[in-house]
Amino acid sequence: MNSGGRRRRSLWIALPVAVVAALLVVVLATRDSAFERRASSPILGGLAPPVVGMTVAGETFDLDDWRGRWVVVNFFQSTCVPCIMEHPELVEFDERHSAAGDARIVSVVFDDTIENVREFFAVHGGDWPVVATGAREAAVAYGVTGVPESYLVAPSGVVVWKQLGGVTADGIDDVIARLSAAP
Amino acid sequence: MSWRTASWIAAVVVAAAVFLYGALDEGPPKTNADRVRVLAEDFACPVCAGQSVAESDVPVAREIRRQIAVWVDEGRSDSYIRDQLVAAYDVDIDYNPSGSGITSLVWILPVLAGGGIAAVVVGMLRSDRRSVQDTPRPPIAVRRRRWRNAAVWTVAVVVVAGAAGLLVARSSGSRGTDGSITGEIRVTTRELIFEAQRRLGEGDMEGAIAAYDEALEIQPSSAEALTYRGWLTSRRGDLDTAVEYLDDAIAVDPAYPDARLFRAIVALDQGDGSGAASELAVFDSLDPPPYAEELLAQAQVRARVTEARHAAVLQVVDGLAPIEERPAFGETALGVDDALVAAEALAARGDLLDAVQFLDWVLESRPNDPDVLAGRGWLLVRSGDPELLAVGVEYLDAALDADPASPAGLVYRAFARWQQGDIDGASTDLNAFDALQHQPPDLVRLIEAQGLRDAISG
Amino acid sequence: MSNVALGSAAVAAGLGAALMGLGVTGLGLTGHLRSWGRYARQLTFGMAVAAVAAVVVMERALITRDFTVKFVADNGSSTTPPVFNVATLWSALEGSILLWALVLCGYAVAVAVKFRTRGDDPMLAWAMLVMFAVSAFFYALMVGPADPFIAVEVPPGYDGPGPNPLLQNHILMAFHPPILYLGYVGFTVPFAFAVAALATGRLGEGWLAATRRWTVAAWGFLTFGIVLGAWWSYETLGWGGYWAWDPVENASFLPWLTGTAYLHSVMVQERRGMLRVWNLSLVIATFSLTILGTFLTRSGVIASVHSFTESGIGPAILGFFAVIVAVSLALIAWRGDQLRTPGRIATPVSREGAFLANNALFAAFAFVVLLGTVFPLLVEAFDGRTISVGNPYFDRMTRPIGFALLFLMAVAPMLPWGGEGRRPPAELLSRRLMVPMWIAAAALVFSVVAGARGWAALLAFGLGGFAGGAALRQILLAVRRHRWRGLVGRTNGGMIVHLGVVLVAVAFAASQSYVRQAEFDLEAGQPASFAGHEVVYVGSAVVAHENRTERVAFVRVDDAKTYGPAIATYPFASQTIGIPSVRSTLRDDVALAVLQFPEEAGADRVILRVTVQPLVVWLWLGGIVMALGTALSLVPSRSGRRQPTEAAAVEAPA
Repeated sequence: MNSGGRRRRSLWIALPVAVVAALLVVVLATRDSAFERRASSPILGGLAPPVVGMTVAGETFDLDDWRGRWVVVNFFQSTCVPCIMEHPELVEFDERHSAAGDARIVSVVFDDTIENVREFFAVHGGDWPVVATGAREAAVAYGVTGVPESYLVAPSGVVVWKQLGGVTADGIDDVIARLSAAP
Repeated sequence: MSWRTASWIAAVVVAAAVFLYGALDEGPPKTNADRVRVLAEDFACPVCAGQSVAESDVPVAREIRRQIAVWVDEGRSDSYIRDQLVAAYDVDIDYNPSGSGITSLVWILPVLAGGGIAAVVVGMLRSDRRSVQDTPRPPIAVRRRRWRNAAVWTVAVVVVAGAAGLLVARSSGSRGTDGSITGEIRVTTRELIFEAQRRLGEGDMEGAIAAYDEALEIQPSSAEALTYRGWLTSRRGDLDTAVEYLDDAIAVDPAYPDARLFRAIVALDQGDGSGAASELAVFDSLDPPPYAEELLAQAQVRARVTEARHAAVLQVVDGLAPIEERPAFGETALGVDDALVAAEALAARGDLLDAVQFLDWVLESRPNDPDVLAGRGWLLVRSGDPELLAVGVEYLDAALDADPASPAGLVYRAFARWQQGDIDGASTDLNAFDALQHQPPDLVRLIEAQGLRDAISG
Repeated sequence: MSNVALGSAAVAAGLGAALMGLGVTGLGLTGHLRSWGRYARQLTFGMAVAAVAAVVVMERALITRDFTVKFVADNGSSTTPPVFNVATLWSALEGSILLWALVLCGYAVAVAVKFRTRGDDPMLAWAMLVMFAVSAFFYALMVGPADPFIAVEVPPGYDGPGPNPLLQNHILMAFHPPILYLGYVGFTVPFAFAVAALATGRLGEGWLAATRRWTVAAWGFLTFGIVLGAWWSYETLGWGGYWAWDPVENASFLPWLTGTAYLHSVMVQERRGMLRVWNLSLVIATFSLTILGTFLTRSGVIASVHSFTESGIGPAILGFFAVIVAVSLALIAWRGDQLRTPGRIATPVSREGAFLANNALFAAFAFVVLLGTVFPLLVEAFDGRTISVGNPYFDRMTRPIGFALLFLMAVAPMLPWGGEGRRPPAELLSRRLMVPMWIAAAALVFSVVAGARGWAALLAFGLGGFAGGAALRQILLAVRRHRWRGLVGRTNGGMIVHLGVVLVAVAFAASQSYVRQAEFDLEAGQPASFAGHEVVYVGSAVVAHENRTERVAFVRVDDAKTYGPAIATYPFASQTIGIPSVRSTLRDDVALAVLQFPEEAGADRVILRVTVQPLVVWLWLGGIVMALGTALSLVPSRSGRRQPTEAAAVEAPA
């Protein structure tokens, strides 16, 4: 009788431990790999953070002045290979829309020198504002994690789409078409 | 009291006194760099595996680190910086779990567990003392009482430890809105600069210098503190040290008008007129705030700069050989700007003829230079003599023929036409000037000083 | 024969030997096989030979750059320097499992040989059964999801990427993992005996005595492995940090905490017969935590700098962990009736009372660390949000526990066992703690005069002086009494370990509290002074090594030696790797790291991070003292068997 009571007591101790351990195992077993998890950006759906500063051409730039158009905010670095690869797509996109003026591109320099950026645009083409000073504030406000990275700002000023890595002109146009169709 | 008791008291008193002194004494101030490091350790690098922003060397971490430094230098609070980063990168950038909602459990559970463990240990000590007597099975009533006691104790421990856990969660799970718990910076650079300005207002120059020094200790890169520290140093007569401070300030923030202004004044004090002029030019391009303009006017900087430049250029011109024996202007080391200043200087000295002759000599080499032509015309226009005025307009017309967008030509001719009574012509020229992309500030000032606009419209 | 075939054969043979060992010991336990002991011993040899063979084959493949082995093709390279080529074995998942198996087989052989005189003792049979089972599991991993010997076809002229650049730039990488594994795996032995004790019902102190030295040795390796790991990250990561509460660091720290708790509580059971369930639980927990740590870091559920890329072994290890916990809990519940302790604690102010408090603190410590490590996963499971738990949490929650432990470290060795002191404990304490108290006061005075401020660091220094003084006092008394033998044995060695802990604690507090860091943008020839030191950027040079290209910044520190922090580019790595350089003195360290060489025409510039941290060297010295103390405590004091009253005898000289 007495020994039975003791056994019961050790059961009482073992059971909760077993439950907690089992819970832990279940939780661990159902987790995705950390390498697959990628948080969605918290700025999507909100008003676009400011992009304000001087461009490499020496002019002032303020994203808010472009309210009413679609704006691609593109973060890049002149030495990053994917940036070089996506650049013709941006040029293509700019050419498609420069006449109508319904969509524009602004590039934001990420961790780079102005000379490099000037040379980059001289070599690879493209004629749109490239924000240099104030670029770090913008990058951190958008939550940029690496380059290239692009955000699409709707005419209403809301960030509607984010792309990690290179974009394509068709890809952006698809997004714009989809979002324009849906109210 | 035995010697041992005395020795214990002595040791404890010494230890406690020293500990309290060391704990309460402020010690050397923590700098902004210290606070940046502590903050950087509290945020996860968004793309790295298990590394903080401080540890990682990937570009994003570096950029976030630098942005934190900017915020810290701006005197932002920890909670502001946290909110900015969370807004852009989501909550998992913050290594400090929030003290509310489900995440508060991470703070509460350890305290609960600690309370539970402590209760078990105490219980063991008590029951072991008791178990001696009741090895035989106790009666039901005793067991029931024991159960009740155990239940009461369990509830008490859970309540107390839970409350303590909530307190821990409340205090640890958020960052203060009022400043910088992480950096333990007691005063910010901003407060110190206000303090210095207050003291300066009271005329306490030494106190102000001390406050700026303290601010610089915390934030060696504060352009404001460097500028005013340099300015005050220059007022004490130590120009060389002042230049070092001011040059540092300009290196930190090239667009800080105050630094440019003070640097110009110090350059004047050192007799460096062209240095002062170039600083003044940068100052003008910065769209300076009204108080800086006021200061500028008070110190009569422009007049002094002009004076200094005139003096310098006159020295050169007076050193030149007489007109007939002079080599051609193109063969001297003089530039067009120098020539114009020299003409101004000669005219200001009262040698109008010399000035005109001087510019004619320049025109021999540069017959179609719009600036020289305009300057030559302006000398005549200013004379007030109607005849000379007409000749002056001819020169100005020539200048505008050479370059229809010559700002100086347009403004000078506007003045000339106004003097001739040709209000329409004057306002045409002025409108053309206003339509230019770039209006030189000295011309703008000239227009304002002479009240040309009012004169035309009125 | 090819390396793949040879290696696969060795692994298969090892698995066969482990399974046969399971069968043989099983038959022995059921009484079907008389001389199972001899067979089991031979089978451990078989397993070990297989493991050695597999490792030799793998090293041969690495050294000869045999890229037909997938592991070599993925992780080897013809340009890796020789030392790191050998160390490549443990720079990736499959090789590290192989190393684990090798160490495990080594322990199995040692156990089999050491206890060969035990004859057919069922306790030994159960212990061997567990050892074989664990070995079989690891061999099975190598046959299944973590096969190190997979054949691949590579094009002619193929060259591998080499190991992760971070793992091949410091010599400590050659030592840190093997020593850490010696610690992790060593806890298999006490675990095996704990299970055996539960299975046989012989729950007395027998299994404790049998495994005491094994546990101490494993603990010593684990301790030294952790310190080496911290040292490695300090020397290679270049931000002045050595401990970041990274999940993998926590995974190594958790078994250390429970293991340390066990080393103390075991003495209570030896003396008083108490805490049987607790001690069994601690041993089981320690072993389970090594497995859980392996899961956390090898399955990819938690991101960490240390974790290898995703692999299929996660579920297998998690299942193994579940089996261990389930079996152990079932055994404890089953044996509950016999686990009731006969002894009791007479007074809280006694050695056993202090050990109890010590265990409560270590348990709380382990709970805090475990919770912080898995909490993001729990929140994600229940709430769907991703959060992070890091530095601020761990610092704040573990700091008070650390202070309490330092305090106990001073008081506990001075306390008599309950009822044994000839005088009341208060009087004993006031006599024995007098000198430590003065040392604490002196430490405080010295720190404050030297410029230390802030309550946390000062409290750590004061308590450090207190605990260090207590340990020193015990050592000096023991040496005076027993000459050199006063330095060996569990008690005395333990005090030396305490000294090492105090060194580490003080160095930790000082370096964390008074670290100064700044970034400088310097042109060639430009000096910068910071935190009492002057660094001058002399210039830079590009140095080509066989496996990397370095741009070295030459930086002169305090007008003396020139150091060469660099940025290295490896052909296969996606980004550059900083190689910091540290000037160490006993007083403080100046750590230099190049963040960037800004590209600018005509200027030689560098962005240099300078970290000045006091007393960092004492962390490593403290680690060495701890290892030394552990080794000394393994030396038998006085004719093999320690007299239980020795400590008391030292305490109260006649």
